[in-house]
Amino acid sequence: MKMTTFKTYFKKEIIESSRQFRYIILAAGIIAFAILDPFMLKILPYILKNQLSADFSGLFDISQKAAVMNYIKDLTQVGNIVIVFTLGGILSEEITSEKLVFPYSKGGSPLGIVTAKVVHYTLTVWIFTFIGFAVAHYYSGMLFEGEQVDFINILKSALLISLYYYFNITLVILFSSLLKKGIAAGFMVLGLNVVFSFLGNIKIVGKLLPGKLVDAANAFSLSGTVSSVIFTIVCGIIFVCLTVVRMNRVEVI
Amino acid sequence: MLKVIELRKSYGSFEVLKGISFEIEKGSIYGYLGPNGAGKTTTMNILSGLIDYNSGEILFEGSDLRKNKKNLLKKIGYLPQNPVFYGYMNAYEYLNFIGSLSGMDDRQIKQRTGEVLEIVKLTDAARRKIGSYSGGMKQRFGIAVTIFNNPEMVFLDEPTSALDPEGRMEVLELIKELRGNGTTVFLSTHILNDVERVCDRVSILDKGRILVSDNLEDLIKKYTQPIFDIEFEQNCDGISSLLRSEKWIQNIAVSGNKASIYVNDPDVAKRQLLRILADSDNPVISFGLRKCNLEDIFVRLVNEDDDI
Repeated sequence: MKMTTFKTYFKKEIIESSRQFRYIILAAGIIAFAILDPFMLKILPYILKNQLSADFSGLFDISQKAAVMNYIKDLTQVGNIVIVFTLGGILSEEITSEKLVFPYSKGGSPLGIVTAKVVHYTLTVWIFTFIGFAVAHYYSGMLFEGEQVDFINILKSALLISLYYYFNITLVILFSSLLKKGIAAGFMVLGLNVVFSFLGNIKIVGKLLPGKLVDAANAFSLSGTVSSVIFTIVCGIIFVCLTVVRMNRVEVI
Repeated sequence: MLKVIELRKSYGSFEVLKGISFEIEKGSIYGYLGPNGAGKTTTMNILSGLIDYNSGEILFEGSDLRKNKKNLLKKIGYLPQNPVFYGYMNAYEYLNFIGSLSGMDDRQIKQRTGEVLEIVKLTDAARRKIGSYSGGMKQRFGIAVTIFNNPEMVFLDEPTSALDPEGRMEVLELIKELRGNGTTVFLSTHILNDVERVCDRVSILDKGRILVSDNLEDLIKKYTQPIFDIEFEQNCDGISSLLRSEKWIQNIAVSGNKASIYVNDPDVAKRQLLRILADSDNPVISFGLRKCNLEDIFVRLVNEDDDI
């Protein structure tokens, strides 16, 4: 029954995401900066030259590496905001609008529903993230001649950012099951991200938190990320378990 | 088929259901009547496994609902008062979704989709998005979803309350058809006329307690007051002296040419009263046992409950 629910809900999430433009929103939030960031970095010296009548190109690191690092920064800021607010209502909206009444009354399993949502959106975001990094790498490689980054290292960064997103997706889905408004779930996750960034300054804790994944992505390296990767994966699993417990107890009507 | 014993449900200190008990026979339509806030929807939500209860027992074909919830839910269909669907799907997509959740294979889903859409007369609108359906269409589609996996029993929570008279008639016909197909129906409503039209048995619920549970005919018979209302051609003041000597007469109230005769044995009165009156000089224009409908019983019971 759980597997049946998982498959049914996975299919339903695909229909819902395409009909409600979630794919477009997520793709725009993740991939758009892969084109915008290298482009902005390319034209920035020209803009400054025209505005201030001086050559500032020497003050900036204008290279493929800098363009991709800018992209990573935007992914963890704007991209993350787009994801948490797009996904903030995926359980709360279904609970408050009583859309789960028929599925639950037909024996739908909360475990199947929650895992289908988590797996679907994690995969979606991962695919967009890898596409985004590939585009950023290709496009910035076309625009800049400076310090280059190997594609294998780009893939390492994409993997680390994907794990960072997985953490935030499982967290926002947990809050979505607990709170009535999707926007509140989004703000809770962003608030916790701020708390984590402060905690990241503490050496022992900082090694574990997902922020370490972002630092490693900026360095295009996987070294020193084992504890953070394990911590992130385990936290995600715990968040999913808590969401399932909540969905088993919640009154859907 | 379904036995509910001493069911209790509280929200905080507020007790919504105060130990209700009833039994539903297989293949019948069971009316569950009560004013708004009586606890009808709470009962429905509990019986359909959507919310938990504090104490009591729910036995579905002898099997405990709490212990065998997952298996029993397959045999139950539930139509909430305001059914909500994924509005971006069309009827085919949503029924496919429900069929998959119920564990049906593609061939079964395709066949059943055609059947239920035909039953609820939505075949022509099946490719339209459900979000664009009218209230009546949504209610009918809700019935289609409820019966999709051929449940043995369906719980319908006020299925006609938001419908126009034509829509109501259609839904009531559908409910009768369900009984014809052997499905047991538990119908919650506050529309007494609907109950009189389709139900076999009825329970009246008020303030979380069941005031009465009985066969509809027996209930009406039981609550029919033993009063004969008679209209004479002329003033009937003399009727009292004519009837007072009869042992089965309890009281006589006269007003102009109308008399209300209260009896303690309606069967004897039915046979003898008219014979006695026919011998009098004052011709009888109309004669009848005061009829009692479900509404009278409902109002009487709920008002009595209010007085307690």
